[in-house]
Amino acid sequence: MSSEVSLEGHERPGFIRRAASGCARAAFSQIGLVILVVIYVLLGAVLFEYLESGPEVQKRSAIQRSREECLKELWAITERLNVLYERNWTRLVHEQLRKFESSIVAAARQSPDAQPPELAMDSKWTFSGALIYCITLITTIGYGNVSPRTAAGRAATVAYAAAGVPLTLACLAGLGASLARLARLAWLRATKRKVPNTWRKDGEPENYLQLHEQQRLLPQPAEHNQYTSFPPRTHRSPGTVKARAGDRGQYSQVFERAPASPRSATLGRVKRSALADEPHTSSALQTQTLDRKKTMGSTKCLATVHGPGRGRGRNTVQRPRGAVIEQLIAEECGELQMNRSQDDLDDSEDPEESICPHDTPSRVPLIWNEESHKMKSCTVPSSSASTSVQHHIHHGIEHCHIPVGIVLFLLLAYICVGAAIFSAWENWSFLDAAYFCFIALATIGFGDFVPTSFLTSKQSTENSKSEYVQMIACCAYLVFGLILIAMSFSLLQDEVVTRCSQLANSLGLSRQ
Amino acid sequence: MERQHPTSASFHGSMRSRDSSSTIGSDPREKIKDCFRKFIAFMFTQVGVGALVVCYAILGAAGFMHIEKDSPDEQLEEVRRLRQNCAESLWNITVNVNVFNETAWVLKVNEVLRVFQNNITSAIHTGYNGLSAEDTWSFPAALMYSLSVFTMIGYGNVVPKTVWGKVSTIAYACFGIPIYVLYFCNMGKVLAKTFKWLYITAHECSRRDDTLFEDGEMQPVKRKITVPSTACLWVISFYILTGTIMFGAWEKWNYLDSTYFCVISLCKIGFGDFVPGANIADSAGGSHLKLVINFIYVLLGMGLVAMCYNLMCEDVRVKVRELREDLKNCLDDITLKITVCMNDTKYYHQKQSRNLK
Repeated sequence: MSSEVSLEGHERPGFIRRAASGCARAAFSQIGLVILVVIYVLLGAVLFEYLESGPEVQKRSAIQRSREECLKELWAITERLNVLYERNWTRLVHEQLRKFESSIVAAARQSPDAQPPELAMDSKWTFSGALIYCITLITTIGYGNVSPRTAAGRAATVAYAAAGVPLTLACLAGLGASLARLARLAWLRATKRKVPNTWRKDGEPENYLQLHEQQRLLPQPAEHNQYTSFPPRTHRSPGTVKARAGDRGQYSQVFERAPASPRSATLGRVKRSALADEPHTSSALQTQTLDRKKTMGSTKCLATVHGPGRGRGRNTVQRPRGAVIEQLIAEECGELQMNRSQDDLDDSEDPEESICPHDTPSRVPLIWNEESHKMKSCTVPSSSASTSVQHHIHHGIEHCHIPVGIVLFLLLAYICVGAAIFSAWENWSFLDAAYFCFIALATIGFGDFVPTSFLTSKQSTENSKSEYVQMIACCAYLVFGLILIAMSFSLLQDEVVTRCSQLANSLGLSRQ
Repeated sequence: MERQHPTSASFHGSMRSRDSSSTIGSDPREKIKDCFRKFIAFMFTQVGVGALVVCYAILGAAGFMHIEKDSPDEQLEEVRRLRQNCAESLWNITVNVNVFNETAWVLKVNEVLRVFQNNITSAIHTGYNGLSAEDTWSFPAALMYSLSVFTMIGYGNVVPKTVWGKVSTIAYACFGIPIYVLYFCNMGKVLAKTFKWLYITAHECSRRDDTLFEDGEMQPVKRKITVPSTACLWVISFYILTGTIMFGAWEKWNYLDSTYFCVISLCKIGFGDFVPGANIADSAGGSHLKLVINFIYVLLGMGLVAMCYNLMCEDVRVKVRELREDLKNCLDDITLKITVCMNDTKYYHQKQSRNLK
C-alpha cells in the first residue's frame, strides 16, 4: 500500500506511454473483430474485382454504337437536303445531337464510370477500386459512383452486405466503446489535476476518482485493508493493470476471480475480501446509487433486457453484509427490475459486453450501451454487495460526464481537418470538402463528391505511390471518423438521455 | 403504467395532468397547457414519432425543392453551348468538304462527334444528368431525397448543387438523424413487443396441448422464450420479397435488381443506381399513390430492421453466452486432464526414482 503522496511526478513521464498503451489496449480488446473485418474486406475486394472487371467493354461499345448511329443519321440528313440551308440543317442536326447526348447519359447511368474508349483502358474495378467499394459498402456509406453492374456482382453485393454490415457495425461500436472508456479515463485524469489532492479518510469521494481507484484495486482480494484509507492512484502492482478502465475484459476478469460456480448457483461469486470496509464506502455508494437511480429511471430506450428474476433472493443474500448498501442496491435494482418484462428469467451472470448493444437507439448500433451493463450487472443473481460495489464503482467511471461541448467540438474539428485536407487534394472548395466529410461520416454518402483522384483510369501500374498513400489516408480518415462518431455517441448518450428526461420532467411530460 | 389519481380531484375527465391533485378549477390556461403537454408527449410516443418523421420529411422536401429549383443551371448552359459548337463545326465541315465525298466527311464528322462525346461524358462526371433543376427536383424526388438524408441511406441520384442546398442538407441531417433514431428505437420496440407477443402466443397455443398431455393440470410454465433469429429472418425475407414484387411491377426492374435495391436500402447503403421515383416522375398518372407507398415501404423497412435487431440480440446474446460456457467447460476439462496427467507422470517418476534408490 503506497503512501498518500501523490506521485504525479511519477505519472507524467509515463503519461504518453500509458495513453498509447491504453489506446492499443482498446484496439486489442476488439482485435478479433477487427481482424475479421479486415479479412472480410480484403476477400470482398478480390471477389468484386473478379466479378466486375469483365463487362466494361460492352458498355463502351454501346456508346460507340450510338455514335455511329448518330453519324449515319447526320449523313442521311445531309444527303436528303438538296440545298443546304443552314438553319434547317442545324435544327435537324441539333435534334440528332440531343438524341446522341441522351443516349450517352443513359449509358452513363447504367455504367456510371463510362469513359471514352480512348482514355480508359482500365475499369474502375481495380483492386484498390474494389477495396474502396467494399469499405464503402460495409460501412453503409455507399457512394454509388461505383456500383456493380453484372447480375453476379449485384447478387454478391447483396450477400456481402447482409453479412458485412452487422459485423462492421459491431466492430465499430466496440471500438467506439473502448475509445469512449479511454476518453472518460483521460477526462478523469485531466480534471483531477484541478482537484486538490486531499484524500479523505472517511470514505467520501472527491469526484469519482476515489471510486475509480478503489475499483482499480479490487481484483486483489488479499489486500482488503486498502479500503481503510484510499490509496492513491499510483498503486502499480500488476493486478491493477488488469483492472484499468478501458480494458474490455474487466468485468469478466472480476468475475473470473471468484470461485467457479455452476451456472445456476448464484451465491458463489461473493468476494469477501473486498467487503472489509463497507461502512467507509457506504456513503459513497449512497451518492452513487442515488445518482444512478435518477439516470436509470429515466432511461427510455429499454428494449427487452434480460434480467434474472431473482431480485428477492438477492436481497436476502445481501442483508447480512451491510444493511445500508444492500438496501440501496436492492432498491435500485429492484426498481430496475420492475421496468423490465417480468418473464425474463435468465442465468445471466456473465455481463460481458454483448456483441449487439441493442438497448440504445441507433440505426444499427453505433452506440455502445453502457446501460445494459449497469442493468445486467445490477441484477446479476450472484452479485453480493462486493460485485455490486465493483459495478457501482465502475459505473463511477461511466458517470463521468464529458461535457457535450467538448465532444461536439472534437467532431467539428475532425470534420474541418478532413475538409482542409480534401480540399487541398481534390481541388474542391472548402465548403464542398466539409460537405463531403459530413455526408461521408454520417454514412449518408451521396456520391456526388468522391475522392477519386487516385482512382484515375490510368493503368494500375502507373499509380504512383502518392496515390496509394492518398487512398489509404482517405480510407483511414473515414474509418477513424466513424469510430469517433461511435465514441461520441457512447459518450453523449447518457448526457442526452439525462437532459431529455430532465427536460421532460420540467415540462411535466414524464411520468416521474 | 398510469398512476392512479384520486378521482375526487378529477374535474376534467380526460384532460388531467399527472399532478392533477392540485388542479381544482377549470383554468383555461391550464387546459391549454395541459393539452399542449399531452400533444408533445404524444408526439414522442410511437405513433407520434412516426407522424413526426413524416412531417419532417415533407417539410424537408418542400424546403429543398424551393432552394434547388431556382439554382442557375450552369451545366445545362454549358452542355447547350457544347452542342452549339458541335453543330457549328459540323456545319463548317459540311460546307467545306465536298458533300459527295462521303468518306472524308464521315471521318471528320466522326472526329467532331467523338470530341462532343468526351465533353458530355466529363460533364456527366461533374453531375450533369440531362435534366434541368426543375425537372430533377420534383416533389417525389425531393421527398426521396429528404428521406435518404435523414435515414442516412443517401441515394445520391439527386444532389444539391447550390451552396445553400448543401448547407441546409447538413443542418437537415443534424436535426433529422436524431429524430430518425428516435423513430427507429420506438418503432423497433413496438414491433419487437408485438412480434414477441405473437410468437409467444403461438408458441403457447401449440404447447398447451402438450402440457395437458403431460400432467393432468395446466401449469403455467413461465419459461423464458426468446424469439429465434430465424423467425426474424423470415420476416425480413418476406418484406424483401414484397418489395421485389412491388418494384418489379412498378419500376420494371427485374427481380434481382429489385431485391438488390431492397437490400441496399435496408442496409442503409443506398447506392442510388436504382431509385424508385426516378421513373415514377415520368409516369404522372397515379404517381402520388406509388410515391406514398414507396415512402411507407422504406420507413417500415427501417422499423423492421430495428425490430429484428431487438429480437435477435437476445438470441445472439444467449447463444454467445452458451458458447462461452461450453468453451470454458471444455477448457476446464482439458486443463484438468492435463494436470492429472502431469501429476500422474510426476508421481510415476518419483516412484521410479525411489525404487531405484
